[in-house]
Amino acid sequence: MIWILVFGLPLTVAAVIGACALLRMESLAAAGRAARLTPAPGGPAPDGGPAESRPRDDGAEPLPELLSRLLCRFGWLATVPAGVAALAGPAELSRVDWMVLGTSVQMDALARPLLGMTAVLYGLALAFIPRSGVDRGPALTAFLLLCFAGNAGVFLAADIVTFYLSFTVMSFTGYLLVVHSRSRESRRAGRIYLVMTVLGECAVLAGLLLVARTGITVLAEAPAAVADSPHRDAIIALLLIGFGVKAGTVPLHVWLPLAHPAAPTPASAVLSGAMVKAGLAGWLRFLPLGESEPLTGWGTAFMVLALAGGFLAVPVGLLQDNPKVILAYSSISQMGFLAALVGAALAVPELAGACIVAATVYAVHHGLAKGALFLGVQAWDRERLPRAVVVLGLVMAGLSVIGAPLTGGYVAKYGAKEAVGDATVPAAGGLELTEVLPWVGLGSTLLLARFAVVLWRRDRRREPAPALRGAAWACLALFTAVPVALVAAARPAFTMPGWTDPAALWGQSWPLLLGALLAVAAAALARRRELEDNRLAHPRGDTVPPGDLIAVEERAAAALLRLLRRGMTAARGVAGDVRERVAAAPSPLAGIGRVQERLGAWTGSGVLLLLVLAAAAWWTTTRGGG
Amino acid sequence: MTGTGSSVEYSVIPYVMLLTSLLPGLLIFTLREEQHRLRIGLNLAGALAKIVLVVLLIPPVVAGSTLRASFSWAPGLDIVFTTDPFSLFFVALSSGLWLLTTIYAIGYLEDSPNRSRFFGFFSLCVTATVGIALAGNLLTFLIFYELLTLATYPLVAHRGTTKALRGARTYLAYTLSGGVILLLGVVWLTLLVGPVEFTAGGVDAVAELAAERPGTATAIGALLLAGMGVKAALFPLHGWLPIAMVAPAPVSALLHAVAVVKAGAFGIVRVVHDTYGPELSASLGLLPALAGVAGFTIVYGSVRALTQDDLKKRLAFSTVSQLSYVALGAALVAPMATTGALVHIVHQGIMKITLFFCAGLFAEVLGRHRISELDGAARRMPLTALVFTIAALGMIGLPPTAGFLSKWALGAGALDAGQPWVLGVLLMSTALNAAYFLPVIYRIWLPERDHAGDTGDAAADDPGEAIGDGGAGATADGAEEATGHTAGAPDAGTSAEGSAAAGAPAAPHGRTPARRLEAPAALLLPALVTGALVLLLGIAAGWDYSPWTLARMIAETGYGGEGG
Repeated sequence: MIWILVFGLPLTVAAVIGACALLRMESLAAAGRAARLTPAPGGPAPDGGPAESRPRDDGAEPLPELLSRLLCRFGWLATVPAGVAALAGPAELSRVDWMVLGTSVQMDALARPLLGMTAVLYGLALAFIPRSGVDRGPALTAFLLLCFAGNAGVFLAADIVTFYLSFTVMSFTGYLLVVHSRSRESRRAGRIYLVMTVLGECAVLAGLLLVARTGITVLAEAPAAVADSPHRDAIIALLLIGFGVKAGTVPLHVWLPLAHPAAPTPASAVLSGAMVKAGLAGWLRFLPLGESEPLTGWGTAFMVLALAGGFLAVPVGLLQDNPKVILAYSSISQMGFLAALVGAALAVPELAGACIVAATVYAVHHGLAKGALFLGVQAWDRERLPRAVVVLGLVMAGLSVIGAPLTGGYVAKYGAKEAVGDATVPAAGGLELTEVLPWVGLGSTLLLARFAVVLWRRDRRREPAPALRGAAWACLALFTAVPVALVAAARPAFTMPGWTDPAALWGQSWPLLLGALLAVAAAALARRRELEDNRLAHPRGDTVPPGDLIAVEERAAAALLRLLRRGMTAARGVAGDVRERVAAAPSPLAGIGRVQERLGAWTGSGVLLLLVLAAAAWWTTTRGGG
Repeated sequence: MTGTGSSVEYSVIPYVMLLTSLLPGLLIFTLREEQHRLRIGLNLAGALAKIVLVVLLIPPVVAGSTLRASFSWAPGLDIVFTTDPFSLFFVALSSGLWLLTTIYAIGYLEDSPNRSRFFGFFSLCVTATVGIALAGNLLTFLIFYELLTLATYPLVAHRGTTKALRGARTYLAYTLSGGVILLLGVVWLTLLVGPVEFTAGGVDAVAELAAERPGTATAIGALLLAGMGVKAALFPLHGWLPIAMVAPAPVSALLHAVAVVKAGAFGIVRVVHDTYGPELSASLGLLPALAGVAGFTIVYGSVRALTQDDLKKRLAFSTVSQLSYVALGAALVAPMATTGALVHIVHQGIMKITLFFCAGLFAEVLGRHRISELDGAARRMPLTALVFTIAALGMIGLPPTAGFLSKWALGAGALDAGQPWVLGVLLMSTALNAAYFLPVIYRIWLPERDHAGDTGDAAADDPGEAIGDGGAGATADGAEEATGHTAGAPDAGTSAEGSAAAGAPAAPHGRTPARRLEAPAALLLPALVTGALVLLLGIAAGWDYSPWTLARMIAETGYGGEGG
């Protein structure tokens, strides 16, 4: 069973690292206690950081540390089984009935390419952890591996509960990636990530319970079942929200520009490359694509939100000055492109098959290219690679995201445009989707030009690093076209562009050329002296803070909380008043005492007894006796 | 019992099960304070004997045979004990957790006064719980229900402080009133239809009564449910639970996970499913009312939990909320919802007992009771923190913990029963649970700010002396409260003093100056076991004898009789 390796190996490695950390913490805690229990004569025993974090004096590295260091160094190997499975894994269903509510995984046309992309991305990201200046490398390795198991599970899951299980594991371990650096920004980002994740989880859970209500458990039957479900619209709405959080759909994207940059760079790469695709996979697995009558309303909703994200992310991203924030906005824009495909498939059922395939190819392309770009930030900052190689790799990956000819993006974007056919955006006056999508490419060009400017200004500080991973990164960045083209070519429903077809070449080039022209013009403009202090010409990332809407939403949430707290204080006040009044009310005991005193005499009690007896006699006679 | 292919055998085993805790309890009362070895021996022998019995009984009972023991107390008043699957389900939970809590209590109360009294009542309390579980009719149930109230009172009041006595008195006032209401209901029903033996799917005589006099049947049902509702802490009868927090940690664990509150929840299921039958109680209007109250309690308890800073108090309100999952599941007419209710009896018990064990550990070892003091506790007590985290995630209902199964079953059952509003309640509860548990987890794992205040800036300059998982990556985050409750030497001093005063094991009497573990094994191991169970019961839910499988089986027999 290859699945035992695919999931078991990452989980085991993560567990071993965790156990090592626990062992170490136990021994530190014991040492700290011993130090406290026998305080130094000079004063209070040193506690916390200084004493405990100093390496031991005996010189030898304790076994747990050695082990976790080794596992960190070679952690990337744990993703290899998944890569092998993606290439040659069996396609039949595998079930483990005793696990949770019956766990099952299956390799299918959607899972195979996405799993492959995920394995490559996580593997490379894991390889970028050791000797990269990341704090607590082993811990990051463990979290990434947990996340990987969840992420792979999302793509491979063959039943609803397994899907939800994987999705949740991935989402919540994602939090650990975001807050890993423990900086103030990362903690804020983590907080926002967690709130959005919990809300998303709730929506997903409700949606999946409604799907399960139709009686199916197998994912392959889900779209048809959802199409026939009486709760179809509720399911679509819940899944739009739930998976939209993950996929960075406007207006649920707010966590993304904060969280992706806050994570250590290897983690950013997988967050932005692989994890956002889990949201897409959720849509493709559960939405009734091609199974129901045209859902024009929902299709339009998806397309409008998608295009809003696709375009609005550009100006906001251009105002940033952190390369990873700019890449995060680029991801929002690109995920908008993908969501538009989903919208087209919803609106025009005949296009669904082609759109699903196009979305799959696009997801693979974007995952690889965006991962290469994020890791490229680290490659630029501190890898040993020569500057020329790094620049070349980044340019190639960037061109791929833009969709320039002869790149992976060329294939993916062309295929996507062919797939949406004559789908229109009713909300935009019936504009054809194929007319709109190339403009996303223009936005990407501008964003990546800004990225290039910002990155170029950063100093390179080359440090010794494993040569192999540099080479692997260069390969990924330079040759994303190969896997994308292979995946695309294997799918008959996908329209491959001719590599020399002038119409296709021009169609894919003009956004790049126009964007480059605009970028050069903007750069020339920004050089002018009168614009020296202009915030728009020289953005510093504070005109629109990363996370844009979040500032407003945070304020709204704070206001709501204040209101709630005030309401609860008021409620407690009322409850306290009532309690006080009850306590202050004259005690009934005094009255009872008085009554008892009166009846205490034999005459009183005798009369009462007679009355009771008379009443009883009357009751038995009139009611016919017992 | 209605189940097909089931057989009823007369047996003394139910008596033996009661005696395994009754006898040690009575013997312990006679022991002198210093005979602690004998006391520990008696406690553990009783607990182990009961577990062995339960383990031996599970396969035959699952296969369909029921043991029954009865005697006539007075003419017309039969005391009946049976081991139907549901009783055994509850007995298994209470005896398993009893063993762990006993171990924990032995460690917790080491060297403290009045231990014979404590363990005597502790055993009586478990006897009463097992009696409730095994009770075959309403009368027997009532007797043990009241016995439980009385046996728990001395435990809540154990410390003897003013606060403890006040808490115990509130507890007694609530539960005794509940008992009176229940008594009224039981007497009324017995008067009308004769002795009521619990029957899966409902008692026929009760159904006849309901057909003739629906008003009376409804009134009786309301009385029974209200009587149970006090112990099950349904709003507005929940007031005693947060106040009873003054009890020592093992008692809280027992109260919240096994004995008292579960007796109420168990009783609700017995009334709804084995006395009235789900369809009948729904048509009488009992279930919609119960569901409404339970739904409100779930949200109310969670909202109240949000604002508590005392860890045990937050857990108490969480119990109020979580218990109503059981009531809510029982109030929905769908096998899946019933499964959720039954399985949550076990799952909530294991998760909550873990949380209370951990709260007790934090209090005993670190001397920290408030959530705002817990910053960086993981660094001192990584295992405890890990277990706490698992259990809290289970409470939120995240897979693959046991809590997820309950939530999933309840959600699916709510849809089956055509009550989608319940889904809303569950989701709101999920979000609220996340809102009050995740910050605690966050604080626990927070890198401790060393010597807050004076070296705040230095920490920023030296952020990454990273060590393993608990690195000292303290950042100068002045905005977050600099409480000064960091674990400097002064804090350790108070902790040591506090525990010395309580005579607790953390006291450095030179007994274990440099322990290998973060806490005394007797306290830590039970928490580790239950914490592991939270994960195991979730992951291995499909195992033949897992609570999930058993709960499904029990739930389905209840509906099978109705041809549902």
